Amino acid sequence: MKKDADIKAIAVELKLNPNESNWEKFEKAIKSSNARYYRITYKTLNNKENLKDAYAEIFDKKGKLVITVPIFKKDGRKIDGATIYLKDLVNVNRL
Amino acid sequence: MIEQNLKELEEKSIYILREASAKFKNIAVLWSMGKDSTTILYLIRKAFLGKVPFPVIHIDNGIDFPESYKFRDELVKKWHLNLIVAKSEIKPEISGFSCCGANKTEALKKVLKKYKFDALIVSIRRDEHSVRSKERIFSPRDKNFKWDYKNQPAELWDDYSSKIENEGHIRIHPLLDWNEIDVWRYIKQEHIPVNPLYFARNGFRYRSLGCTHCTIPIKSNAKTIDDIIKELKTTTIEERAGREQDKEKEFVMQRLRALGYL
Repeated sequence: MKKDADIKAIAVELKLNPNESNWEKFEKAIKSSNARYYRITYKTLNNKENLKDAYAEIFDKKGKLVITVPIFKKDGRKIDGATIYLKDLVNVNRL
Repeated sequence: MIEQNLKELEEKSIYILREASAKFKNIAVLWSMGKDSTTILYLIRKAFLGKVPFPVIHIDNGIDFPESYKFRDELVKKWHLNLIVAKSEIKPEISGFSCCGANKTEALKKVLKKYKFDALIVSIRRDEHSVRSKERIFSPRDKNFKWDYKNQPAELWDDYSSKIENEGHIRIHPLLDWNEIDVWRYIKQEHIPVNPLYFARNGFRYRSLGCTHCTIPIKSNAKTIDDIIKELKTTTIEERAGREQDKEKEFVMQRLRALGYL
């Protein structure tokens, strides 16, 4: 439970400030958490035209939604994708 | 019969790779961590005594599948690959055509300019898409990456033109004559490692891999390579049915490729 609380706090921080340092914290925390699966999704499936509207839903091994996080990294004005930080998770393969 | 077919395809691909190595000074291989480009790396190792003597380029827009990054890092270590990650500077506003153009082609242009590669090994196949069926084995591009598909050199008797015009480069396509099922049969025969996203879970699997933004899984229960081969024998769904850029306006793939997309 404490592990889930930690990862939830990091996810809140990531939504506010998705910089490299927060992503690295997230990557470390995810390894020791109960999170197992991810799914990339969008605010609306008909409009995938903004990376900032895309996010990853992260589930535990029982399929319960643990957190959602953005999938981009922003340092200063530079924006980059950040799916590499999810590489310890497994795709749920669902639409 | 199948083994003989695979042997002939393998021999031709190895011949193409060795021809390319003899004709060009500075070659690189494009790797998307998909089944075709991983098969190319395997064929290169077979052609050059267990080594990949060319730099391997991954054009990374930062939103590839996490499994692909993991697979990349594992194979780089296992096969001692000289990996160049070409990072593209992405803009948050992205859609299929502009995304592939801005994110992938521009990153490739930069990496080619920086390292001065004169040839790129690319793992496209003719059966993937009607536009790719117009390709040559050695396919010239001009300095702006433009592909003049109406004016391509003839390739008679396996004689490939290595003439580079206007500071361009040549795309080398050793898998052009293979089809999807050949690739899977070869992967099975040679025990080539593959990205786990190809295998079904929860009734879905990825048949063609792009980035997370533009690739969707297809309905499938194929959990092993044998299942995939069995599925491919009867399927009526196109291989790239899960790739969004193929569903955009007419001739979008032709326009993308003419501008330098892979």
